[in-house]
Amino acid sequence: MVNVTIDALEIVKNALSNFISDVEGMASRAERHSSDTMNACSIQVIRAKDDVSQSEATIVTIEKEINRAEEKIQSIMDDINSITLKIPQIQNSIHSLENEIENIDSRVYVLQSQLANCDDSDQRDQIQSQIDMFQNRHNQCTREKQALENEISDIEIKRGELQEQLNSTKAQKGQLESERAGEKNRCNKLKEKLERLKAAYTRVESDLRVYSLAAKNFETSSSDSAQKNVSSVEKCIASIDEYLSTSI
Amino acid sequence: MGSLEIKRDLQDFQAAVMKLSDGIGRASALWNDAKFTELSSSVSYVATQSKDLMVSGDRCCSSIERFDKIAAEKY
Repeated sequence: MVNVTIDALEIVKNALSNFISDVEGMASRAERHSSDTMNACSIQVIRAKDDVSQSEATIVTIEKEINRAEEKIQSIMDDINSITLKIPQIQNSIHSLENEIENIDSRVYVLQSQLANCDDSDQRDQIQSQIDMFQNRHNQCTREKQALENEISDIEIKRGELQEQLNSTKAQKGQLESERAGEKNRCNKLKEKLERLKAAYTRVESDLRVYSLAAKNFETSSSDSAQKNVSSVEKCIASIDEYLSTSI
Repeated sequence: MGSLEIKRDLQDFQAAVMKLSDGIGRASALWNDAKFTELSSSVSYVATQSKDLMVSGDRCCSSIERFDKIAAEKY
């Protein structure tokens, strides 16, 4: 039994024709969008690789600064040790001079006693001459001792300055080591992110490939099916037209 | 951004299939025989095929969004 109108066939024909028109080009659009997406994803992977490279370069720079700090620390310590070694030598020299000064004082004391008890003018001259000589030597030793004491004082000041430099450089090295640890931690996280990103990229690539293929298959098969149906409906319409135009 | 474009594509696909189904549905009041039944089956098959496309498209969008989330991580 047949139960159809031309209006119904026209509605169906229009719906099918519109559908063919709507899906036309969808597969190529899907392909284009897939391609754009893969390009955008590639750029993100490259950026992630660059981030890792930059972090690794930063670590190398920090390590060079740490090495420089270590060299400076060693140099300062060598300087401190070097000048510290001088102190006992100078102190020994000071003690020798103090002993000599004491010895001179004793000799002068004895000579002054002799001078006090001497009536002979020639002998008095001789004794005074000796006293003068010892007095000169006493003054010289005193000046030398003062100079050595000043030298020790200068060494102590210099040692203090070097110690401050040493403390400052050690603090700086500690800061750099902390920065290095932080950057290594960050670098590890960036590397781990890159690996996850690469895995996600592979997944996106695979899923887009399946999607593009599905879009292409859908457009082809559904258009073919719709076109066949359109042809069939057009034949039906033509048959009804012929039927209606037949004179009885 | 990539998932947005694919979602728009999927919406366009879905709209085209729904438009077709609506059109066939409107004709059902005026066409009621075995031939219409054949036509309806053919259109239903198109709708079924479109579901496969929608599923693969949704999977794509999920993959892209997971990728974008990882890419956006800051350290």
